[in-house]
Amino acid sequence: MTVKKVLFVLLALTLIFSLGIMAGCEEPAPEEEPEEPEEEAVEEEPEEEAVEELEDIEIDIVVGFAAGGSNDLSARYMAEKFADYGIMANVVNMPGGMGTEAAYHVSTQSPDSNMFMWAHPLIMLFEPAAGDRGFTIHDFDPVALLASPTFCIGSRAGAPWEDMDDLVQYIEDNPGEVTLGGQGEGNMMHFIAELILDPDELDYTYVGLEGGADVAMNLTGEHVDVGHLSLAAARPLHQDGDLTVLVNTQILVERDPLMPEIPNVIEFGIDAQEPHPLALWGPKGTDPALIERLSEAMSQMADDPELIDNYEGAGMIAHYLDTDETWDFFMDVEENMIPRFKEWLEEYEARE
Amino acid sequence: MITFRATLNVKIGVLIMLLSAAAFTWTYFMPLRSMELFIPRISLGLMGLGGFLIMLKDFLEPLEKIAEPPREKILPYLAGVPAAMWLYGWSFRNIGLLTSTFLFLTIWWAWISIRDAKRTDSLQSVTPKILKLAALALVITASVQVLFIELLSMYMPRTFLP
Amino acid sequence: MFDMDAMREAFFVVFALDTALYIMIGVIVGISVGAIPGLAHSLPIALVLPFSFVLPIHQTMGLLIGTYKGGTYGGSITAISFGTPGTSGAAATVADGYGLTKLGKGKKALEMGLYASVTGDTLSDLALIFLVVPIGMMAPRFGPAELSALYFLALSLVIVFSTENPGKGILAAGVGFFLAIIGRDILTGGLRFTFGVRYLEAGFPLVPLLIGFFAVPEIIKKIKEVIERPDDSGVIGEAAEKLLKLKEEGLTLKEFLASWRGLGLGTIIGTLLGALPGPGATLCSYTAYSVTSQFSKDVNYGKGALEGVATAEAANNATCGATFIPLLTFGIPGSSIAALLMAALIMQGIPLGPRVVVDHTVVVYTLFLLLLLANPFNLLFGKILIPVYSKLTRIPAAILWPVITLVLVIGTYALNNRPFDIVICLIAGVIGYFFKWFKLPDGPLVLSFLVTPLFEANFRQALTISRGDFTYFFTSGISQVLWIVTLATIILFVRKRRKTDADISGN
Repeated sequence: MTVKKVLFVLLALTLIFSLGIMAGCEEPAPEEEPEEPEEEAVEEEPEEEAVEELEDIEIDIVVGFAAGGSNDLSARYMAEKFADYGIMANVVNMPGGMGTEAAYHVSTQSPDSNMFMWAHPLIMLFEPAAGDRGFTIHDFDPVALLASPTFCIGSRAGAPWEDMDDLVQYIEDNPGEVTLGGQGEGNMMHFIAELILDPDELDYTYVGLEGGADVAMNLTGEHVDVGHLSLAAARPLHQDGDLTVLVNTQILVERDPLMPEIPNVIEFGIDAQEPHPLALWGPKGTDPALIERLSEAMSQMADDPELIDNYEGAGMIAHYLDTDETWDFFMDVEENMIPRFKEWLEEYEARE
Repeated sequence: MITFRATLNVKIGVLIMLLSAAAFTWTYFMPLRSMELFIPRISLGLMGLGGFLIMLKDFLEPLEKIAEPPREKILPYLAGVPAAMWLYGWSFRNIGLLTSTFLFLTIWWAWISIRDAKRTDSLQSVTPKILKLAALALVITASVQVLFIELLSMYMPRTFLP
Repeated sequence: MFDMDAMREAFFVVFALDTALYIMIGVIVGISVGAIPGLAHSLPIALVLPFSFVLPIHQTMGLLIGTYKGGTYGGSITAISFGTPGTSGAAATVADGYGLTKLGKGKKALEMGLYASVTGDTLSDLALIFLVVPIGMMAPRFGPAELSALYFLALSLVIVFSTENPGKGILAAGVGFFLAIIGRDILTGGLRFTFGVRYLEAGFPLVPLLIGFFAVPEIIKKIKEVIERPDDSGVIGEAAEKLLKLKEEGLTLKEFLASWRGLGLGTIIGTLLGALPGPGATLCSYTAYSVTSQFSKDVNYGKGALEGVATAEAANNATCGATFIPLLTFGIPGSSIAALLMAALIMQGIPLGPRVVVDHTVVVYTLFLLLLLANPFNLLFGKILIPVYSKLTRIPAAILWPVITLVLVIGTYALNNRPFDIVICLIAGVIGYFFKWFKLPDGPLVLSFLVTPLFEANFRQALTISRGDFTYFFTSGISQVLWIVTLATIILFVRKRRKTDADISGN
């Protein structure tokens, strides 16, 4: 008897569930429908047939971090847009090991698995350079690059310096007084921070905090003097006077439209722009036709005002690089930065 | 007053002390910096201290107050149940969620029913019982599919069978 | 400060049928998923996240907040009914809740869990609404030095669990420490005790570890019973045979009020710790649980006391409102769930930060009202589900436990799509069995496992900032107060222990 009752309740619950989810799904339908013909009718007349010929496909976009971060948000905004091109993209979160576990997983998939990795140079180049992560960038085929989060250097409220030059001057005048809070130690972020403020020339303390939120908290509480964090996290605090953003470290453009008044680090003659852009990668041997189709969709997305807006709100710039350009960008990082990073890492590991 | 006894508690305490001492020594041969090993050494030290205190307690307390852990036969279950769980985890990812859920439940229930029937000498009525349970397994399998795949859209590798 | 117009606007947005519907769906999804062992409720929250692309803010946030609250409560249902916490936050509920179920008082325990959750939650929401600014302003003053002191205080609670048998308490704490440091070093990324296993680099994730630790030993025990003693293993609980015919009694108002200490301490500790980035629901409930154990007059505390359930549940749900404090004052997410809620708000075009209360007053009031409104829904659906679950416990073990086992395995995998999480769950299960068999207390393990990474990171950061100067830990007023409290706590507990010892030998 009881078993039956329980089963009945389970079934009822399932029904309620599916009703609920359907109710949720019904809403988007009317909104999406008018959008599609509009867009395609206006611009893509000749291509529309080509699009129609292609059947809908389903792909998985693997994100190496938990849901909710900027990495995940950028993938979700992109996945939402992919639907307009007949590409049903599911975002799969596989957090662990700074995204390397997810990348390892994707690298071991067969090329026809329709599984793609959403990754930046930190995952693809810096982590494998720091130790064996079970994969390298050469286990992947690039699709395209679409998003580039902006990071920045901020200082605590009431700090006695105005810009980067002042800060450097201040550290020179007051050795050992300034504390820089960064995101972790012995990783790419730490490497970049030390490219910006060279510890061999400047006497300051670097402390590895746990992430962007932690850096923001410590800057606001004035436990550190300078911090390395994402521009999106820093902006509201900057506007409220809880901290001051000094420079951004964006690599693809000099000024971020989110805060155009903030200079780029390169404007102070410091060659330490952060290679942080996110690109889509398939396992080696992925069908070139599929790659082209995805890349084409991404190139159109990059001009979509809604996506640009969404990315800006999340502290990223929408910037498209095609398949070859993406590969060249990553190869450039591999050739120019990775050897320096390895050297720096050796030197860092020798410190105690 | 100290009385040396070899109770099970003492044996385990000594074993833990030895293990943690070995691991503690091992930390000095690790390629990690001292800051990274600070907490690990504290933890190993604590384990060793714990083992020592457990041993000491049995030496100090009168015999009647010592509570020994139960000496049941648990090892087969301790190995068997996790092994079965792991096997299920492997099979639903590699063979198929529906197939393995159904098979695991049905096999388990069939085995339990037959054992039960043999015990109570009611082997003739075992078949309908198993069939009923198999139907239940089917329902549960379906709910698992609906819950995890349809509603929670769990990520599944492409498998050989459904 | 208070904007009446904005409040009115928010009020009409929230108290509408569509909002209520979404909160309801959220609560049902949350409770149901929260009650599946292995699945943390961050999963359904992540799943409904894409809806924020298409739904207006009050609907999205109603859905998410409903899921959050329902899920935080839902974990207690299985913790009480099967000794298998549905979420890690409900781990502290197992000892007393499952203890009560075994005594045949499962329904009482379930009801206490529900009422305590809703009470703690509501009070914490009110605290959020009235204290968001003062508490929010305090949070950033906790830097590495202050947090080290705070976490040291939390660690000193291990002593509470260890009073009966110090050796076993210390051993359990040591194991907790050790499990916490396996994997990549949080700051430097150096690999510690991974034994060359790639999957161990991510360490022991909290959810599979706790679920395995509590659930797998119970599964092993049940399967053993089914195989060895098929006649007695019909239902959970020794006394259950007789109870099948008896109607189980519900919780009385008197019993509920008798647990005022637990409810109060749980709510206060849950709200205050929950407002800091880092601790999370599990640590809050364990801390509150151990503090209350020192003040509770119930002799069964830890074995089957309603007050234990009340404390743990009030504390873990009290974090729901408190999570929003750092989020709304600084835009800083204190937990993975807070990060998800923040992402949903960002997708709605609400940048969180210190100015959000000024720039988006209506949205903030809407959130407040949604938080409050979700509680009655939680109460309602909890109430509906309690009879179902108290009946579930009476299904023959041979039928029920295999199903729980399979769902546990899938749930553990589904949370992060990581096959290795199942292995971690099983390893934790074997450790858990050893703990049960050797009668080691689980409190020190959970507390030290949760606090160690936080303490270690902050301790090392503080030492880096001060360049190795230990006086840095005592410079600020906050840390001085915390160290004094720590010292006082330790002295109090040791004296109390002496007194109990003296009483026992005196008798």
